Amino acid sequence: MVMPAPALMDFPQAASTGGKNNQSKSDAVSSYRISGGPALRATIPNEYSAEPLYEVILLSSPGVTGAQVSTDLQAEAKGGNTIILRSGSTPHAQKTAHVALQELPKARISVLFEPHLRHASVRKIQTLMSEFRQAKGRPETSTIQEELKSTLADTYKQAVVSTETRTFATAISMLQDFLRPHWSNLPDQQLTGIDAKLTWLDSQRDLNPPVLTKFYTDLVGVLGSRLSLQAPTMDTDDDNDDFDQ
Amino acid sequence: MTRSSAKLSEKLSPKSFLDTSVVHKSQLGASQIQEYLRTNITQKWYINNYVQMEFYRRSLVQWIYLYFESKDSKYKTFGDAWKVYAEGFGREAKTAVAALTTMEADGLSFSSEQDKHFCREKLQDFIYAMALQFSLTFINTGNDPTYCTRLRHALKIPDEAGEREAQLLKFAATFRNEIDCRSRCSISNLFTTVSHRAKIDAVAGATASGSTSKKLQKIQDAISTAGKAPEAITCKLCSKMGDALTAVSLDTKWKLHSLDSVHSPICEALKIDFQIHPSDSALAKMQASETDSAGS
Repeated sequence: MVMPAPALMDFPQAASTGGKNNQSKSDAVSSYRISGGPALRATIPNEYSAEPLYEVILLSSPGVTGAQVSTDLQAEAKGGNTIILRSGSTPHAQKTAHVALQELPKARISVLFEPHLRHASVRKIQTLMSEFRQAKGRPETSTIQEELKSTLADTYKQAVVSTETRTFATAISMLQDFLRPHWSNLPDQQLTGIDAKLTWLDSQRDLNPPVLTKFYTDLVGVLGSRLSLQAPTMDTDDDNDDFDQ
Repeated sequence: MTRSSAKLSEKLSPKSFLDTSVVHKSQLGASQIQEYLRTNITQKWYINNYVQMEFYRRSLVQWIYLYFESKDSKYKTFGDAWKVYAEGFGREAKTAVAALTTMEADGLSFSSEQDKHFCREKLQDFIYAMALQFSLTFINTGNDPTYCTRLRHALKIPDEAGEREAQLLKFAATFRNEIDCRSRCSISNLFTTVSHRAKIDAVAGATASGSTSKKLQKIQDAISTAGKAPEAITCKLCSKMGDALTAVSLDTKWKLHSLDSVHSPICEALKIDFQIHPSDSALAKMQASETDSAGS
């Protein structure tokens, strides 16, 4: 049974510091050679008996892991008053991990979800646009068109829920607004142009207002028209009567 | 025509200044009238701060109000808020929000509780997209004789998406605080400075016939009221003479494009070049008759 370790101050000095050089400092400490490095053995005396209270084996090599503890040590630990400790590995491991993190190129540490959603969504839309282009004149054209509209709507819903992806949602909304009056007639040239603008959008590091502005002007260039909400017809001649506030 | 003579001709011909009625149709009209305006009004298209304010008042500000109105949990769906707004706040509100039904064509449902949030977000995108489009479509001359201050906060997509709602609130709060805006503007100068007063008096003395006469009379009544106590002019009174205020900012370098027939007597009185374009229904009739005559 493994017992809770006593306070460290109870350890013989050599045991607490570890290492071969300390071996001769205490008779209570002896050295084990096990796979992976040296081990120190210490006994904690019992004030009321000749039998030691605990026997502590300190595995001081950083390379030693629990899996490497020899069968003998495992057997001793099972014996009752034996505690096996592994020391020295933690500080070294921390140092190694610290260095490793510093060496990682920051650009490759992705902490943002937006570029991934943008990339996956743009790919999906481009694939459908390509299918739409190829299907023109075939019976499935309208079906793919509906699928494309539905994908745009789903992408919008997906992107709009998070602040991080909100600007991407605006870009998708713009695309929807631009495409709306053109669905019945989207020549190959326009589809190719939109495809290129989507690739450009995907390549942007950050989606910010200037990028959105350029995306807007590029879409005007491709589709030759602006956003259109197409309000129902009203007779403008009398408009101003009701616009007084 | 050589390039230099074309440039000279462009320089000599009056620049296109668009009245709010044309601006509105160019942004929110049906595709036929949009196409008509594109082909019949020489680019570049100029407006001033007053025209921008009128366009915003008609559409974007209404949308912002609906955006916040629809936030209330008493509206289970976006459609519920939309109906209340369209039916309860007059024709202007109805016209403004009518344009928003297009979002249903983009796969969002006004009648779905689940889609309420998405509809509101889409509305927010409409607002910012239209504001962006406006800034890219028109050139602001910077010449607004009233120095209207209701648009003194810009409506641009903020860098941080989380700031959008706060920006809309600030914009709307500024816009609707008429007393504060009025205390900052210079509308009363139009009635007190000699140069402006002459133009205002010319409009006040204009004459028209038919239905245009009624509209002109309303403007002239407002001018008369304002002239008696310029300091007491309110935003409401100012809006009643908006067609005149648009025109008095112009001189012979400009050509005013409007869909409103009342600009005909106003521009004649001010000796400004102008063109009244057909309304949607008039355009439809024109196109139908052209098709008929081509077929016969």
